[in-house]
Amino acid sequence: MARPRTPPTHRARLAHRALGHALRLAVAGLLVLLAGVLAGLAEGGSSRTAARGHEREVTARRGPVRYTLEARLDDARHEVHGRGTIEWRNDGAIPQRELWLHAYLEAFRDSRAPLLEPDMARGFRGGAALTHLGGLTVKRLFARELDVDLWPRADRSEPTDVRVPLPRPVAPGETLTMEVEFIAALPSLVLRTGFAGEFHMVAQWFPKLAKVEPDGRWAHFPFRRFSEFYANFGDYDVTVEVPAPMVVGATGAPVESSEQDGRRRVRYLAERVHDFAFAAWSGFEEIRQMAGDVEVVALFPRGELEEAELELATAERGLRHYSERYGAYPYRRLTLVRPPPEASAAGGMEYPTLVTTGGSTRGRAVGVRALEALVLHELAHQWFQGIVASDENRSPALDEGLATYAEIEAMDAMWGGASVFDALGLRVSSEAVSRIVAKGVAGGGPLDRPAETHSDGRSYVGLVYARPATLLRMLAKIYGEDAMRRALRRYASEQRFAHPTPSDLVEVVRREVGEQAAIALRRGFEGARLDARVVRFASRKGSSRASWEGTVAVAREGSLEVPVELEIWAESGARSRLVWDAPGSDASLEWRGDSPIAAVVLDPEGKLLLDEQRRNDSRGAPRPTPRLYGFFGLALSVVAEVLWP
Amino acid sequence: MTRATLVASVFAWAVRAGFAILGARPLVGLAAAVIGEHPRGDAVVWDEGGAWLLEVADEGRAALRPVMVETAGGAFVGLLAWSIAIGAMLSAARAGASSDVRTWGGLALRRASSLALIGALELAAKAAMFLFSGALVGFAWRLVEPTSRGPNAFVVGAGLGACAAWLLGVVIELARAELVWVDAGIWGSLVEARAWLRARSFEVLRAAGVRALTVALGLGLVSHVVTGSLPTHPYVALVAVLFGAAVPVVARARFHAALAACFEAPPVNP
Repeated sequence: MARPRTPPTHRARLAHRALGHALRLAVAGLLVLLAGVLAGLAEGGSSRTAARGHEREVTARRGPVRYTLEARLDDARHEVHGRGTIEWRNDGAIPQRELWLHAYLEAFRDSRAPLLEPDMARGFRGGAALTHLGGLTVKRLFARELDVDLWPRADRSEPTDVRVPLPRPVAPGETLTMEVEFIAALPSLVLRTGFAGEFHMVAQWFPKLAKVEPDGRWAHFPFRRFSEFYANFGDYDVTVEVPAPMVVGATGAPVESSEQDGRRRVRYLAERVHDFAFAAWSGFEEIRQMAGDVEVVALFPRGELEEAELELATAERGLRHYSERYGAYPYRRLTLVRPPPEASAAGGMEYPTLVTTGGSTRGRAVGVRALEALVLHELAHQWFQGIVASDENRSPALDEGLATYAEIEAMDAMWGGASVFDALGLRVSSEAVSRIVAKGVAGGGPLDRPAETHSDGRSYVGLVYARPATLLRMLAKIYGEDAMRRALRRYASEQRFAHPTPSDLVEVVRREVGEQAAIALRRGFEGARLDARVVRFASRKGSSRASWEGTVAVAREGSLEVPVELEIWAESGARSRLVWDAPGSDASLEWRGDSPIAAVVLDPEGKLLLDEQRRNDSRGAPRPTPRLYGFFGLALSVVAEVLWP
Repeated sequence: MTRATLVASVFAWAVRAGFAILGARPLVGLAAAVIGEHPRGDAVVWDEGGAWLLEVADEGRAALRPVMVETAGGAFVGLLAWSIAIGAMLSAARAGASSDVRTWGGLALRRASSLALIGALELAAKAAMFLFSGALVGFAWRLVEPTSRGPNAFVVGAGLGACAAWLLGVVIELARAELVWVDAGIWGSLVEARAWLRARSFEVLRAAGVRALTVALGLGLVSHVVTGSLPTHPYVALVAVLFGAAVPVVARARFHAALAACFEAPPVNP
């Protein structure tokens, strides 16, 4: 991040004063002046270089799609009237005889659609009833090179996932330019996209090409509650037209703006992104801040300045942290949209260069950082799924797991072991919370599985967010934080603007962390469990006079085999460590010490985050519990004073 | 402080401290079972990061229901004992109260059932106020101010509920005093308490305010000491909890003295 430096003129004045006092100081001042000028030049140069770097990176290799769209918002009817062109280059290995288009707003045409099934929302969001239906009506899809309107030929048996047959095959490398015209009717806001009052969150609003895999296969899928992103990187040139009082926050950066006849038109350019969304509302206020050479803009409802400032500050810290961990944020702008309370269903979502937020600052007095966690999570998605664009439908655990890992790691790096709660002498970290959620879905099946196979929100949150993140945190703790950091940095670097799979992550962990870690990661993704425990211990007098020998029997259930540390507490007070590093479900470990074994603690540093039970991790004599009596006694005293006569 | 007040206060303190420690027993047992045989004992719950704390909360959740039933049973028994203790404190507070424990203790025991009943009513009313007032006021708040956020309104509602609960507590305490000092019956005591509050509102509310402030500051200070010393000096914390049980008792004794002075003063408009 470029920091402001003292201007050379000030340094010159300082040097001049110094000359009046002593030649030595003058020489020093001149040196400082020279250094300042050189530093200023260097900074200007590096800033320009960074800017050129941004442009080079995002334009280096054009994606196979380009959307040039005009979107006119009819705020009374809650419709977006769209028109423009979609350019598509066949980057696959084979000629294509059909296109696949995602028309995701069609999911809101029926209030009984599977997407809106309230049971699916259990443990997650989006359970409210739809009061205003939505839909995407495509009027025209005219392919210039083929001189034909393709839409009448489209197979719309699955309304959100449309097959469009082509009159002739399109060869690899050949480009189609399609003129498109459509009306996106926004639903009432129950799940991510739609309107609430005058607030409009316009996402999944245009007919969007599915992704062509390198082998020529189309990766297409219907709109689902738990997944929506997987597409080729491309360029978006979108002009949004809204009523003049409305403020717009959108993917990309504004390059032109004009007002006429009570309407505002803003043109946004976004390069090398895989989606485009925007929010429009007349109630937005705006603050902005530079984070290095990235402009961070926060849009928020009146009266929520405190929250917006906190979001902005968190995003600024997050951008620095993630850029250091996973490679530089490659875009010039990041927009934070804070929906009004009645539109909270739009909050907590990620789109390229745009995130929606939510939550309040209440609870900060006791260290609750819900708002910061949300911002850091959505911001992490700028890397994991935004820049490293894995298949969110096929492997949702890959991007959500990594985003959650990044969020936990950032939270704990910024606020230590008290990142989510700090009161009453109790401190709780983000990692500990994640472990509990992950533990709750142990035995829930593989983590790497398609989004639609999750039965409800609880399963989805546990297996897709918490468990993979906790698995990665566990491996980092066992095999080394630095090694895991290197691995994820390398993964993010190698897969930048690419579309990795879980195997790519396992492979990079194998190279940077080691074979054992890679096996554990693979098994973990397959749903492997872990419950390690101390079975018993015994000690006897050793052969020499002051020595004791002992054995510690340990066991493990589940196929998640990782090294297990044991701490042996001798009666003399001495402590020593043993490591169970062999495969298998049980072992008997030998120990020697200066006195008999008093107690054994498995995993004394709490590295085995996926260990299902901790109550069986220790053996020894039960200890008195004065702290618990003190804590609960105090709690009861307070409750009694409030409720009792 | 008279000898009678001192003895009654010590008895009330013993009830409060006993409730704090004995009432905590089932919850402590639950948590201790999760910690198992860890040689650091319950210190692990206070470790940075809260891994064990959440483990206790998560594992303990499954067995919470029977424990809560046990705690609620203990609270009920405690409530009966506490009613007798309050009766004893009120009997002892009147000027000229006999220093003979049997005399004022007997009076407290005779009124025990009425005091327990009025206490149970107070408990239920306060619980209902806390449970519903926040939601109701929050709902009303949203109707009049649709752009405000629900949870904020809930906090405002809960705050108003707490004030209402406090005021209810004051009225009930006056009714208790009527019950012990005049034997006006439950309903009669409530009616008299309302009249008393209207006639002597300033003196009564000032004394009640001093009591509330004393308790809030005292328990706040004790909480600070307890939570600060739990990780490193657990037994100091335990002593602080026992000391903390004395704060509400002393504040109440002073409140009763103020009420007694009020009660014995000549009427405002003879």
